[in-house]
Amino acid sequence: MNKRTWPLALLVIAACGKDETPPPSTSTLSGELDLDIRDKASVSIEAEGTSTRVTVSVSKGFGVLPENTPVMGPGSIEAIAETGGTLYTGRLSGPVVPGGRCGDQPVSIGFSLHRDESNARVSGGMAAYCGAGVWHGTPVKVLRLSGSMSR
Amino acid sequence: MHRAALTAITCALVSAAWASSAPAQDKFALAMPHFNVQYVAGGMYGYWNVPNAETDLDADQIEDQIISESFEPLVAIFERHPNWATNVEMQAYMLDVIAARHTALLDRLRALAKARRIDVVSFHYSDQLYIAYPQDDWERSQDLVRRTFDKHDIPLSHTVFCQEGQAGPALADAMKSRGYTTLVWPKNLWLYQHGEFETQPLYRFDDVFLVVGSRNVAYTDGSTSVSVTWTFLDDGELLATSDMNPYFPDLFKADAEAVAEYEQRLADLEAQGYRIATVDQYVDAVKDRVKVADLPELLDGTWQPGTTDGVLKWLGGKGLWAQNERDNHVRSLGAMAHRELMAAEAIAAKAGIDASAALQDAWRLLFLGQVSDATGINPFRGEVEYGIAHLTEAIRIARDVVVEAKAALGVATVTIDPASGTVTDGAVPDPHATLIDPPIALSIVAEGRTVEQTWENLGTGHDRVTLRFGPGARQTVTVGFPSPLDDEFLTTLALDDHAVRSFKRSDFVFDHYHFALPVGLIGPVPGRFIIKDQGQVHVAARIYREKGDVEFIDLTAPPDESFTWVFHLVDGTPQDALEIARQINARRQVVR
Repeated sequence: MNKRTWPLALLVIAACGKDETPPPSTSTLSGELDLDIRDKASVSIEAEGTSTRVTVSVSKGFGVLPENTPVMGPGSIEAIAETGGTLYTGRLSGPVVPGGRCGDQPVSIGFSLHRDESNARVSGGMAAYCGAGVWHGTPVKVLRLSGSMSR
Repeated sequence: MHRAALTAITCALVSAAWASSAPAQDKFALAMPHFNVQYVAGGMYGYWNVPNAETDLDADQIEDQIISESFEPLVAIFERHPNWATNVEMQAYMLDVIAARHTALLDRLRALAKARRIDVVSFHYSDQLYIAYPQDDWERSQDLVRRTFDKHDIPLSHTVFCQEGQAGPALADAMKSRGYTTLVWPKNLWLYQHGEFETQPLYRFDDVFLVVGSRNVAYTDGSTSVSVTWTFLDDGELLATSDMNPYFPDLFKADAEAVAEYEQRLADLEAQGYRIATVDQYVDAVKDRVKVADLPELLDGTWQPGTTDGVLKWLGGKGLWAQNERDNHVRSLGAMAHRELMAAEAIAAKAGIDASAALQDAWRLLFLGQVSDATGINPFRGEVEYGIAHLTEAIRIARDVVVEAKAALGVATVTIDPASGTVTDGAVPDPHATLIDPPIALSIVAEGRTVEQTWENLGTGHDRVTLRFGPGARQTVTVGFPSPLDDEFLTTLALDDHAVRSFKRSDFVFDHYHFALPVGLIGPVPGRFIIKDQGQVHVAARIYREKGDVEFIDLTAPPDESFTWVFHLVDGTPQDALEIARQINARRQVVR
C-alpha cells in the first residue's frame, strides 16, 4: 500500500467500529529521537481529525528549551507527494530560558521532520527563534533530530 | 633654498621620471586562501563518542575559532605590510558571523578591503554544492551575497573562487551578469581533464578572464615578461595553524611561527621584485600586455578530482564515517526544498501576499542546508544532520507560505506551476502513464535488497523507470544505463539551465568522469537522454571515455531503509529533453 494512503486506511478502519458514533480519529506517532547526536528528545505527534499537535521534551536545552519539560504547539502531517515522503511540522511555543540565547524573550521553535517512504527513521530539526510567535527569521540555534518514530 | 631640500626635490623628480619610463612590474605573487566557516558544519558536538569539553564545541564556537585562530592572523599580516595585497575567499555567511561576534575584526577587514589590500572573494552565501542544483538556487544565493556585502560595507571582489574549487564553463556568463571579471580555475580540475599543460598568464573565458590557480607562470613574448608565483591556494584555515584543521579544535591554534614563515616568504618575494598582489590587480596589470589564450573544453567539477573521484564524494561517494553518510537523502532533500520554495514563491505572488521575508529566510536555510560538507569529503553524522535540519526547516517555512497563500486565495488544494506562475484550483492529474516492457536492460547492483522495476511510457519518446529498493545491509547501490559508445555526449552545465552542451570524449584524457547534473540531464549519445528525478535520486552520473554506459552510484545508501529512484529516458532533441528535465527538477509542478 502506498504510504500516503495507509494513514487514511487507519482512519477508515477506526471508523468501522460497531458503535453508531464514530470514535474520534486519533493517531499518535511517538519516539525518542537523538538530539544533536548525544542527547534525547521525546517527540509526540498527535493527530485528531484535522488538527495535529506536536509535543517535545528534551534532555538538554542548549539554551533554547527547558530541559525535561514538554513544549508543545500545533503542527501538521503533510505528504511530499511527488517523492513519496512525509513532512511533520510544528510551531512550538517555548518559555523564556533563563540565561539562554534569547535573554528575557520566549523562544519559538520551528519543528520539522522528514520521513522517506514508510521507513521508521525520521530526521530533521528544531530551529529556535527569539520572541513569541516568531516562525521564521535567523534562528539562534538549529538542533538536529534523528531516530525512529512509529505509532 | 637649503641644499638638502634641493637635493630632495631633484631626487624626487628623477625618481618620478624613472617611474614613468620603467616597465611595469611583471612579477606577481598571488594567493587565494579559501575560508569556510562551515568547515565543521554544525560544530564538533558529537564528533567523538566520549564527551570532552575541549573538543565538544558547538557551531558558534567552531566558527569563532576559525575566525580567531586562522582568519585574524592573516588579516594582521596584511595590516603590517601596506604594500602587500591578497585575496581571501569566504562564503558571505562568514561575513555575517564576523559582523555578529567579531566586530572589531570586521572594522579591520573593511579598512583593508576598501584600500584593496584584502580583496574579499565570495560567490555563494553558504559553502553550498551549487553545481548540483538548479541555477535558481545560486541566483538567490548570489543576491544574498550582494546584500550581505552591502550590509557590512565590504567591497566585493571581482574575482571568483568557490568552495571545493567548484568551477565550470558556464560560470562565464553568470559572472559577467553579476559584474565578476576573473575566475580562478583549480589546476587539478584542468589536469584531470586534459593532463599536463603549459600555463598561460591569462585566458579568455567568454567575456571575462580566467587564470589557473596554483600554477606558476613564466611568460615571455618579445619585450614582455610576466612571472606569477602562487604563495597559497588551499583551505585558508591551514595557513596560520601549521596545517591543523578545525576538526581538532584543541590543536587548531594560531601558530606564530607558521605566520612568520609565510610573512617572511612574502617578504623574500617582494625583495626579489615580486608584487604581492590580488588577482584583480594582476589581471589589470597584464591583460593588455600578454596574449590572452584560448581555453580548451572544460567541464564542471571540483578542485581535487583525483582524490575525490570528481564530485562523487559529495554525490554518492563515501568517506571515513560512511556508516553515517546518506548522500542521496541529503541531496534529494535539497532538491525537495528547492521545489517547495519555487512553488511557495509562485503561489505567494499569485495570492498577492507579502511573504518575501519568510521566503528569504527559507532560502537562506536552503543555502546552508545545501552545504557541501553535509555529504563530503568525510562528513560525520553531525554534518549530515546539519544539512537535513536546515533543509527541513526551509521546507517547513515554505509550506507555511503555501498555506497562507491558499487561505488568501480561498482554496483547499491547488496545483502550482512555478514555470508558468500559474496556480490551478484542485489537483491537476499527472500525465497519463502506460505500463511498458523495459526498453533497455538496466544493470543494477543492490546486494541483499529487493528491487522492483516499473517502466511507464509518458508520451512519444518519453519513458520513466521507477526502481523501488527494499531494505538491505549493504550501502552500495548502482544503476547502469547501457548505451553504445559515441564520441559525443551532452549535458547541461552549472549555472546555465537553459542550454544543452555537446562535448567530445576524445577531447579529454580522463578514464571516467562524474557529473553533478544541476537539472539532472545527461545524454550519453546524441538523441538519447537520461534524466534523474533529483527529489528521489541525486547521486553523480558517471560516464566513461571508452564506454557509452552511464552509471549512478551510491555508496552511502542507508542500510535497513527502503528508497525509490526515478529516472526518465527521453529519445528526442536536446531541447525536448531539457524541457522535461527543467519540468522535473528546476520548475516542478506540485499539488499542495
